[in-house]
This record gives sequence, structure tokens and C-alpha cells, in this order.
Amino acid sequence: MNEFFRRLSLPVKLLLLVLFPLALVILLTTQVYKEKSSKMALLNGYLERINVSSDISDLLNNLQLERRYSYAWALTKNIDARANLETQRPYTDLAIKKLKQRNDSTLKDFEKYTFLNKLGSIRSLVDTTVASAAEIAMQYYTTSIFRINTLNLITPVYNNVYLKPVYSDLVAQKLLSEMATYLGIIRANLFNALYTQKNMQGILFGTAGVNDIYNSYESEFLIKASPATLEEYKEIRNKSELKQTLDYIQRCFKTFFFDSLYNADQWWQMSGRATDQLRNLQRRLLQSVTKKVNASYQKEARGKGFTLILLIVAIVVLAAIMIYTTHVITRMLSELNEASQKIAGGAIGVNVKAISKDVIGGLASSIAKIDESNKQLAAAADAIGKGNFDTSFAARTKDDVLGTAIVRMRNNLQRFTYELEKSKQQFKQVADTAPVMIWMTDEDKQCNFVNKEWLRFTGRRAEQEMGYGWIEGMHPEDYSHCSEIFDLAFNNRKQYHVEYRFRDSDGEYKWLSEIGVPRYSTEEKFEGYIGTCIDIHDIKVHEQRRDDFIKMASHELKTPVTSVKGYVQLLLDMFKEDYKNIPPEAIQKALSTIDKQITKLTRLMGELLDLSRIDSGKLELKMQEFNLNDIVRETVQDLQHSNRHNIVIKADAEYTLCGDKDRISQVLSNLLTNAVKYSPDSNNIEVSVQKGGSGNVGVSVKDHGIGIDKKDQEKIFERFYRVEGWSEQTYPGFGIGLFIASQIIHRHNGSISVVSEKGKGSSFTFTLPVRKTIQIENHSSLKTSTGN
Amino acid sequence: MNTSARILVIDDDPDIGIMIKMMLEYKGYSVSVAVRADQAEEMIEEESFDLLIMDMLLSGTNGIDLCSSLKKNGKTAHLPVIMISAHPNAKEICIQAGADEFISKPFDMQDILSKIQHLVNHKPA
Repeated sequence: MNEFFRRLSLPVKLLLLVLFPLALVILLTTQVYKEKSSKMALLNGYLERINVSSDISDLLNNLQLERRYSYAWALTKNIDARANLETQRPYTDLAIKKLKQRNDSTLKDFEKYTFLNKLGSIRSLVDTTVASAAEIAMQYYTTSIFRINTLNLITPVYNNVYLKPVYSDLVAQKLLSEMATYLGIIRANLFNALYTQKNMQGILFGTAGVNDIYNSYESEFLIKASPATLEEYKEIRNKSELKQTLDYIQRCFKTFFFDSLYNADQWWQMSGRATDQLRNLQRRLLQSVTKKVNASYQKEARGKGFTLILLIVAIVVLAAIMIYTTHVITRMLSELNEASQKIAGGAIGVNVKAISKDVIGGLASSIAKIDESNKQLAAAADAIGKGNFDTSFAARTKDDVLGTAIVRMRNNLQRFTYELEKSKQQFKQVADTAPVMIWMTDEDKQCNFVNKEWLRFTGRRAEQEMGYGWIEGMHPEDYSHCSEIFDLAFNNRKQYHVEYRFRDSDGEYKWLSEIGVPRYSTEEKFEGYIGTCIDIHDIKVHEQRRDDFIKMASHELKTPVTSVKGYVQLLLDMFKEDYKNIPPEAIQKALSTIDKQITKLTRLMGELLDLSRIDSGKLELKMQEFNLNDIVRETVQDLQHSNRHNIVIKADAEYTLCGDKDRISQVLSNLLTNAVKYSPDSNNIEVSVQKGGSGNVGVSVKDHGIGIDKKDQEKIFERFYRVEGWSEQTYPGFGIGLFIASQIIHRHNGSISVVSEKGKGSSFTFTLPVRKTIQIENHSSLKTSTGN
Repeated sequence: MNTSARILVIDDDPDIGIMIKMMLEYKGYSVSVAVRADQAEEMIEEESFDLLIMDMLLSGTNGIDLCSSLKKNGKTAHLPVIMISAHPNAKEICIQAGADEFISKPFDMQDILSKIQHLVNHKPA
């Protein structure tokens, strides 16, 4: 049952709640209504009965009149009496008819047992001249009146509460009616005696019992009538015909003798009025009772209507209250439900107004509390999510599962964040410490990290490199090649290697070697690429120079071989054909050229061997003391033979050195050869031997040739370096002469340098440590020249 | 065998040029030598040659450019050109430039003579 009631929907529950009082109200109201109705019915019955009484009283009055007129007519045959009788009979009939129409069950066929069914025959008798008619009529009417008087059944029940106000009047009225009836009998008997003047004493005796009954009724009346009625009665009793009549009756029954105060007619007249007075009083009382009961009835009728209206109003009001209450409660509950749903859906800031202090109010404030607590939790979680681990959030109670979880989450997050930061920091440190450029992209090929080395190389800010910004630095010629390789690798998640030129902080393009590998999260999710770039510019340039050198070396070696081979084949052919007729100048030319080319080849091979020795660290020096000036002179003289150039030697002293004199000669020879080679339009070359700083001597070779660009001056001592634009055809040679020279000088703890101006010539100087210096007395130049 | 053909040898190394000149003159050809492209162009303008032998690399305008310009010029386009070079892999670039034959240095005398002979005898009229 309880379970069943719980399952009922709220409106139904509330309906039930209201239904019981409502039913009760309806029941009570119906009860009241019923009671009112029965009261009204009762009152109505009484009214009816009173009306019947009134009609009976009326009939009695008419019958008494008809009795008087019939008696008078039957006795006297007086014309006036006849006229009265003729007038009276229709009234009597009317009164009977009226009573019949009451249709009261208590009066059912009343004519049959009140002798009225014989009224017709009595009237006929009266109309005849039969002598005893008067007596018979008197007897008939009196008996009938007496009997009809008993039909006045108004015998109110004392405890009938509704009739209480009119009770005494009803009783009085009844008693008055009795009194009038009995007075009527006494009066008729006395009239009879006075009129006939026969058996007068006998009649008095016969009537004495009736008189006693009358007196007993009067006594009862005086006791039971209301004071107002008594007042009225006393008025009649003390001064009117009633007093005279009763006084006369009193005297008669006291003395059993008729005095001569009234004759028959006088008595009839006076006592008739006295009876009327009683009847009038009775009728007035009856009217008053009717009025009062009617008023009471009206009041009850109004009360009944009012009860009905009250009932309807009560139902309507209750129904309205019920509907309103149901509506408000449902509304409140649905607001709470909505708020709960929102909270269940994870929302915060639901607006719940605590309305009452009952269960719903409690529920509302609980929901508001939950919301408030959710807000706190959300704010804490949000703060933690933003990395604010200093939030003062703590578990609110020891049962606070969520709060504890958030605190734990915060602690864990803080630790994770710390570890992540640490790991990030370590990565950054590693990345920034690494001497290579490191970069990363996201899964959309966009750059999202470059290390310090990268920024150092490019001289740009990290923000400039993010996304596709870094591509600006790439050499336009390398872009399509690189993006092809990168895209192919990226789409297949493969490692790749690519080389390209990239602009450095000086705006110069440098060769980079890049290796990129796909990177994955710990969940194996592809996250982009990570890669390194190594500056391979120097390697690349060196490779290029080596390639150029090999190309050039092969060319340089092949050219003399071609020449030699050509001449040898020609000579062979000539000998084969007709060797005697070979022109001697042809043989001369061929052989001298062959000789020259073999010398050139020998020098080239010497250079290559030196290079190889230097590379393998096996350049051996035959250290010995020697005179520098001598070596300079010899070397110059050797070159002078085969050159048109004018070489001038200047020396400030004689210097003795410790070293490999052949190598020093080789260096000087190389410098002189270059001077000759790069001075096509100038014949003068100066060689000076002069004291340098820190116990050194410097040997300079100065020409007035094409000179060397500033940017090339330092590099010309590097291996394989040849000044751009100088083709091997124009200036043959390996381009390793200066490299070998600088290596030799360095091995002698010396140094070599150049001072040059483009178009004006160059001056190469090497300095070497001095063992001994001998001053030259004749400080003049040592001059050698060729006449070539 | 037409050995009266006039041949111009263009090589910026005079030793090579003279060597070839000697070789070909001995075989009966009439040979001139030039060391620069502009010099060669002048000579082609003034004299008539049946064949040109040029080194691929010349100072100033190099052999490739000279060959291309000659082959594009209606007056000189018919001239057969033998390109020589110390670079063994230069044949393709020389043929592309319009050279009829390529010979790498160092070369065999018989090789160059047979190529000359072939080009001279099959020269379009």
C-alpha cells in the first residue's frame, strides 16, 4: 500500500490529500442540507396542519352559524331566519369543500365519520314543517361540531425544537378551540332552555358536565398560554360579552336557575359574540403561529440555499486551493528537478531560490549547497588546470570523495607538471647545448621548435622561424628539391636526409646537412618530425675544391702527356716513313718540347708527392745550417734563365738559418713562379731579404701584376684554393703551391703572409728564425737580370 | 684521300697547337693555329678552312661557346669541328654544342688522323 502510494504521481497524491476533507465537507454540508430539508418539511407539515386547523375552525364556525339559523327557522319559520339560513348554507358548503381540498390523510373521508354526509337530509328536514325538526337539527349540528372539533389534531410535541417558539401559542390555540366548542354546547343548551322555557333545570343538570370540561380547559389555558395571549384573553374575559356570558353561565350552574336577565334571543346574541371572541382569539393565535412558523420556514429555506451555496463555494475554494498548491509544489519541484538535472549535466550556477523551510525548501537549499560546492570544485579544478597549484582548496569533510580526489589530482598534476617541466627543461638544455641545429615540426609540417644553435646560426628570433617562417632562409634553388624529399618522407613517416643551402646570420648561404625522423607520442601517435642540421659548408667547399683539384690535376697532368705523346707518335711515324728525311728542326722542336713538358710533369708530380707527404705527416726536412742569401741567389738565377722577367734581389744582411735549404728554395721558387705567372704585363719582380722582428728574417717577393682580392688573400694558403675566375688554362698549376709553401714555412716555425692590391700587384713574405746575421758592408743590392 | 684540306687548330696551350700542326702538316694538311677564340673567328672570316680542331676550354670565349656560335652561323655551320679536351667525360657537352667529333687528351695520332680524314672526305658539298 505504502509502495503503491509512493508510486502515485504528485498531483494524484495532493488530490487524495484534498479529496478527504472535501468529501467530509460535502458530507457535512449534505447532512446540514438534509436536516434543513427535513426541518422545512416538518415546518411545512405543521403549517399545513395549522391551515387545516384553521379550516376546521372555520367549518366549525360555519356549522355553529348554520345550527343557529336552522334552529331559529325550524322553530319560528321567521322570514329573517330563513334569509340568514339561505345565506349561511353556501358558506358552510364552501368550508366543507375547502377542507376536502386539503387532501390531508388525517382527514380522509372525514364526512363519513363527522356526520356531514347526513347534512343534506338534515337540511331537508329543517326545510319541512316537521315539529321536531328543530330538536333533531340542534342535536345533529351539536354532535357533528363536537366530532369535527376532535379532528383539530394540533397536538405539538413539546420537544420539537423547531416549534418551541410557537409551542405555547399552538397549545393555547388548541385550548381556545376546545373552549369555543364547549362554550358552543353550553350556549346552545342554555338557549334551548331559555327558548323553550321547558325542563330548564334538567337541561342545566345535563349540561353541568360540559361546563366543568369548559372550566378545566380554561384552567389549562390560563396555565399554558403565553403571557401575551393571557393578556389579550384577560382583556376579553374582563369586559366584553364573554365576561357577561360566562358570568351568566356561572350564575346558572351555581343556582341551577335561570334568572331573567336575558331572554333567549339576547342570550343567543351575546353568547354568540362571546364564542366569536374566543374563536377570533384562537384564529389570531393561529395566524400568529402561521406567521412565525412561516418565518422560520423561510429562514430555513434561506439557510438551505445558503448551505448549498456554501457547499459549492467550499468545493470551488478547496479545488482552487488544491490546484494552486499542486501547481506551486509541482512548479517548485520541477524547478528543483531542472536544477538537479543541470547539476547532473555538470552545469554550475543554477539559480535555486529557497522558498520555504519545509522539505522542499530543505531540498532547494541542499541543491543550492551542492551547486555552491560544485562551483568551488569547478573553480579549484579550473585553477589547477591553469597550473595554479597554490589554490587553497582542501577536502571539506573527511567523507568528501570528490574533494579528496581533486586534492589528489592537484598533487599528482603538480608532480607531473614539475616532472614535465623538468623534462622539458632537460630537453631544452640538451637541445640548446648541442652544437647542431635542432628543430621540430607538428603533424601539419609546421615548425614549432628550434634550438639555440639554430637561432645563433640564422641570427633570427624563434617566433620568426615558427610555422613556415624558417623557409625564408632556404636558398630558392634548393627549395623544390628539399620539399620533394621532405614531403615524400613525411607522408610515409620515413627518415630522410637532405642537403641544402641556408642563409646564416651574415646573410650568406651555407650548406647544411639535415636528417629528419618522425616522432611519436608515448601512445604511438604521430606528432611531427624532429631533425638536426649540421653546418657542412666547410666540408662541402672542401669537397668541391678537392673535386676541382682532381679535375684540374688530371687536366694539368694530361696536357703535358698529350704534348709528349703527340710528339713521340709523330717522331715514330716519321721514322717509320722515312727517317732520313726528317727535318732536324722538327726533331729539335719535338724533343725540346718533350723535355719541357717532362720537366713540368716532374714538378707537378713533386707537388703531388709533397701534398701526399704533408697529408700523411711525412714531409721530412733535412735540417742544416745554410746561408739564406746564397739560396735566394741560386733560386733566382735558376728561374732567371727561363724568364724574360727582371728579378731584383735586395738584402740588408747575410743570414744563416737552420733548416732544409732545398725546401726553402722550393718556397721561394714557388713564390717567384707565381709572381712571374701573375704578372703578364710587368717585368719587374723584387726579392728582398730583410731583418724582421723577434730574431726573424723576412723574405719578400713583390710583383706588379694583377694582385689578389682582399677576400682571397687569407684563403690562398689553403689547400686546393684557387682564386675564382682563374682558369687552369690561363694560369696552369695545381693551386697547391702556396699551400705546400705555407706548410714548409710553418714546419720551420716561420710564417707566411701576403699584402696585395687588386690590379697593382702582390707582395708575399715569409719569415724564418735566424741563427746568425752577418752585416754586409757594402749595403748594395744584389742585382741579377737576364737579357732575355 | 684528300690531304689538301685546310685545318685550323685552336688551343690556348701553344705547345699542343704546334704539336698538332706539325703532326698534320707532316701528313700533308695545311694547318693554321690560333690560341684564342676571337683570333680564330677572325681567321675563319678571312681564310677558308675545311675543318676546325678546337680545345674545349679556351681563355676568354671557351671552345663550347665558339663551336655553338659557329654552328649557328649560316656561313660557318658547314665547317666540321673536332673538339678535344683533357676531360674524358666532356663528349656529350661537345656534341651538344654541335661538334662533329670528340677526342680526349692524350690522343692517338692515328685516331685524330682517321677522324679528320673521315670528316674531310664526307663533308657535304
